[in-house]
Amino acid sequence: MGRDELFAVGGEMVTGTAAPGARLLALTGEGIVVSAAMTGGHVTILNRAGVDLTAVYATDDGPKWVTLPALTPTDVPLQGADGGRLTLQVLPAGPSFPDAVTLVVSAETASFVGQAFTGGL
Amino acid sequence: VSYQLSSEVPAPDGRRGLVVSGSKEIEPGVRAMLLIAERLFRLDVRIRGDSVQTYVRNLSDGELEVHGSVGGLGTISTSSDDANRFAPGRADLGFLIGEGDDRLLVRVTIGTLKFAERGTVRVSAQAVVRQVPPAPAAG
Repeated sequence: MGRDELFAVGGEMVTGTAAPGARLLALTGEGIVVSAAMTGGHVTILNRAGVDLTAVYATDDGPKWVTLPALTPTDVPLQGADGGRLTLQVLPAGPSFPDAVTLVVSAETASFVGQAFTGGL
Repeated sequence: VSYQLSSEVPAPDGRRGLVVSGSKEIEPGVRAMLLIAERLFRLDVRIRGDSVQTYVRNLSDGELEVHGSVGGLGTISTSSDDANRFAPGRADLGFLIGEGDDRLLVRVTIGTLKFAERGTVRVSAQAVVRQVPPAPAAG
């Protein structure tokens, strides 16, 4: 494997904003869709990858694991002293979902803003 | 406030891999630690105008070989019109650390969002670490 191939970057970076209740962002070909909660306090992640996925998010008490069942919306609570922030990883799950995903979301005044990355091993 | 996650994951070739994610909101000009992987590396960043300066500290026993920005080859970066008010930015960085069979390839994607009302920039990153594939046998 040559140097250029070794360091080639093929991942996505997606940025989105949304009012409460609206879609925030989607990535991996719509495999992961993130929506802002209508009532605040969490985001909803829809896993459309076709397989159950494992995710982990940061809390003040350390990392917390959660399963994202296929085709089922999962609410993930925002964290931090202000209750308005989330850093979450979705882990690769074989050929059906080979990428790692990092999702960062914050609740701002009247809107949510999020940024997400993908990258394969 | 900083949040970091570090997860071991198997690579498709059966070797070990690691995904490290972090995010921090910082003021321009301030150097801050963004990611740390114990006994491997530490990544600091500093916002300078429209640029992100990166500092890689080698915490391994082997050598560090930095390849800087690897550009946008094959990359997709999208944002909605409304998100553009946060001036999203992207930078990519690649480096090798360690030695011998423990030589590791680290590919980092860094994203930025400007919060003008607070005078801060949120810097987030994902680092994917895996063992360097063995060189093909000479034939």
